Amino acid sequence: MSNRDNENFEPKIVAFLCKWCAYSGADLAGVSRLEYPPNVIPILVPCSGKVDMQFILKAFKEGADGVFIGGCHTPNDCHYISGNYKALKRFTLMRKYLEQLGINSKRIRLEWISATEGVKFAKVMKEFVEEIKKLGPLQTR
Amino acid sequence: MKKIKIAVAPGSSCGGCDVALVNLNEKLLDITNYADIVFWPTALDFKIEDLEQVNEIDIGIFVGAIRHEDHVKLAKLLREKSKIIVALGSCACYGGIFSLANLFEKKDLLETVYQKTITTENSNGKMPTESIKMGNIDISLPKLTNWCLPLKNLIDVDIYAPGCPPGERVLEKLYNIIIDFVKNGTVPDKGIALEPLKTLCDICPRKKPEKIVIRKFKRIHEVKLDPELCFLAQGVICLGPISIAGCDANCIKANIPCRGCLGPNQDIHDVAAKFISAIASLVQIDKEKELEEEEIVNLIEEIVDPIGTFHRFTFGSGIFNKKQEDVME
Amino acid sequence: MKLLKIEPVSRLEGDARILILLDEEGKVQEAYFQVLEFKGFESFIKGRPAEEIPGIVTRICGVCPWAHHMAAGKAIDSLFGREPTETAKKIREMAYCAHILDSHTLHFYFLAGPDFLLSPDTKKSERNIIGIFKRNPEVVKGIVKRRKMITKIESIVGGKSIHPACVIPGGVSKKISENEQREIEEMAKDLIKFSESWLHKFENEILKKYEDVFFGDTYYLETYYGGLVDKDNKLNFYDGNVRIVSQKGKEVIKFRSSEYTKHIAEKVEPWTFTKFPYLKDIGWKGFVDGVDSGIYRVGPLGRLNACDGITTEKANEAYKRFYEVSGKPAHHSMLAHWARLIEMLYASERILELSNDEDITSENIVNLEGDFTGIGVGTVEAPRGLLIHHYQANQNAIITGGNIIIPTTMNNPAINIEIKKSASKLINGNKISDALLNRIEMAFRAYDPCLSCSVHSFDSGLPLRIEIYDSSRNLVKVVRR
Repeated sequence: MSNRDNENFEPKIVAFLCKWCAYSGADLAGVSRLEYPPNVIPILVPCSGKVDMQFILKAFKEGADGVFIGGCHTPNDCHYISGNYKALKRFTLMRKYLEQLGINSKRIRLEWISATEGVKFAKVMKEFVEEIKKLGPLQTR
Repeated sequence: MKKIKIAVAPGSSCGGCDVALVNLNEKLLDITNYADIVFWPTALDFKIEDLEQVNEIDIGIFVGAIRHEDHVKLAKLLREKSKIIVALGSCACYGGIFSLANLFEKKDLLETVYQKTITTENSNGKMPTESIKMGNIDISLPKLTNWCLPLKNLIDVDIYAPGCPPGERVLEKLYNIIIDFVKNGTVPDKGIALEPLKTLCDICPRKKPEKIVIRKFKRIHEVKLDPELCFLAQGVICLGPISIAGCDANCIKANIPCRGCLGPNQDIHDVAAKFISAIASLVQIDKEKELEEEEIVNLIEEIVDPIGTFHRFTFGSGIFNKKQEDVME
Repeated sequence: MKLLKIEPVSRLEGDARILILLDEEGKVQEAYFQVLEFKGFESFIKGRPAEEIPGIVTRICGVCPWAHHMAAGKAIDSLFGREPTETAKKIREMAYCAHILDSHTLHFYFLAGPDFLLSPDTKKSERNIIGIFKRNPEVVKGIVKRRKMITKIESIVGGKSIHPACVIPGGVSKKISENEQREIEEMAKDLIKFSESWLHKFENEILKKYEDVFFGDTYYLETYYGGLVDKDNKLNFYDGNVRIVSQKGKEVIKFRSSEYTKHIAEKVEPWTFTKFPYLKDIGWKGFVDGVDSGIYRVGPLGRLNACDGITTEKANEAYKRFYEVSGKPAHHSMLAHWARLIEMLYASERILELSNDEDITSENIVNLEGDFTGIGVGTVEAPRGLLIHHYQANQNAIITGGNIIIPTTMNNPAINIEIKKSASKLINGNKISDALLNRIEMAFRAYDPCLSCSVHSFDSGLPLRIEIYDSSRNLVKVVRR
């Protein structure tokens, strides 16, 4: 993949954001007019623990180059008590699975972002999009 | 009562489904009272020309996955002639264990076998993929498809009868469907998967604790396997929660954990991803907040080989299953 | 040139076709037994946990899954450095003998049977197990009854008869209960009587009826023969050393299975997916038999030719009767069917012996202790012949490479010679009828081919480690590839 191709490549990122924390954090970033790349497609979920790992694969199949999951901070912020822990555990195992599939596990990322962390949300999105740009488009067979 | 016509056609198979049919024993002999088997190379001498001349087949049973162009032709021929197509066995339903080959490019698979194994002597680099002629007669082998595929990627399937080999309950149901079709002309609902509603956990004879907590994962050689307690409760990975209840929990009774050969409910798109969602949750589920994130992550990372364990029989029909247009080069 | 196709071949395990090229006079110029199977186990076995291998490699073949389960199991025992317990070995051998019965009865009655229990010239549509059932339902019911017993024994040990699950590193997963032991013992007694009655029928009726097929010169080759033998050179399915004998029956090589790469190499041809093993010590001379050609045969005929006798009484008597008739070694390929029945009797007697062993119901079924070596070779006699599995793993016991030598592949050169030879003799300007084509197919049926198996060998980069000890058991040298 040449540098020129990378410059032109605009990754598609799907971001599953939990309603109570991360999605609100994203909203705050918007309201505060913080800049972050437009490549992110946000999807509202009630909890990061609701994210079925099949969604990640489906997103990749449908053309995403990266998938992000945003949840509430551990240990105690999760509105449903421990949904975020489920997300953490599943995410960890999913990385191994993706590597076996030949998909770089850096293409998925899990972060805890509270409702007041608009700045963190924008920063993380910028970083993630940069990372995916470097990795290039996902060639799914 | 007029006899119906049944055909059993092989794709890329190990022969186990054929033996499973033979092991129907009296039920197989009974079926022959109602049906003429017009093609079944394992047991009968009809050749491909004979199959081509049959006008109409009532039940076409396809065994095995799609691996080369002769399988493609045979599957299409069978669909053309048959009222009902049965995908018998996990290879026909999901691609089976052979679809693990899809982790590799076709070229690599071939080179490994015909050039690289330690006992192979092949200095002129002969390959079974070459086009060969004797005079003007083509004796080339059929070309491999790009990927190892389940039957549904190629043709419309009416009944899925999974298992490796198909489980007793599945075969019992298939037998009943055939007899019902013969006696009453009943055509089952399209896309029916035999035994879709329960999972292995529902029929498993083991002791299941109220709450299953996994403290640490144990590989089957790391611990003396308890023959009575739920495997998951022992920390041993078992695909019971995600496998349909089409067998009689035979492996469980032999004290070996389930590896999911019957595949999942129909509405699951990727068995491995779904099972990851399930099994990861159970790790230290009663103590999550007492532990550091790093401790939890380390426990999960002890799991080896998600694909080989969770997707052993179903990889060909996972979310990255290959499209029909992709079949040949 | 004209092309004659038999597509697909029938009454065997696996996918193949026969192409025969005829010249202008209708004489056979060339014949090819083309195996049309390709799986790729060799690649996807890498990355799998070593202890899961016995459960994975059963899927190489649904007709002899136990053979792969056992051979791989033994290789993985060595890989983990675990010696199986005595009870585990006995349980394994007992179940394995049941599997020999399963595979041999499937072949003798369902696959090869119609040619002898009906006839090679019976009408195509009737020349099958259903045809036998219609003419003689009691015979088939008797067969089915015994097959149920056999699969019951397999299921008691391995959960199911097809793709079993019981062999784990250092032992087996489940013990035999007192009830199960009694059940197996009763069934074994019946199976012994059943095998005896069929041997009697074969020796007194079938042999005579088809004398020309069994003793004519259409199906005849003088090759080397190979099989596993115990320390007394007696037949054993589960364990032993590899013994190769010559056309005259003299031992030419004996080796431990871990040394197989010194003695066996494989050729590739572009017209079939399966390869052509031969004896390196003799050399490859093409598709010919004889003392200068490294082609060797395995399976029931190869095993009986390579051994000096059978350890169980009735089977040994049957073995003696066999060689009184055929001379030793037996070169007539169709006699493999007779050898198969003798082996059924041996397997039945061995099951009875083992089920009566005082250890068989012990709790001590697995040894969890061992020094991990990372490499292992395991051999058994698959129903069709010698089978070798060879694996290597990394420190985390994840497989990094392997190799596998399959019996039907070992018979592949001989099968090809026989197809051409029988086609040449039978066609020779004669009208080509369905019965004639069936008689050509009978040439391969004697070998009970298992073609799904035959396309498998594993991968590359497999270092072999040989440790050389002196007489005081001091490690003198380690040789690595």
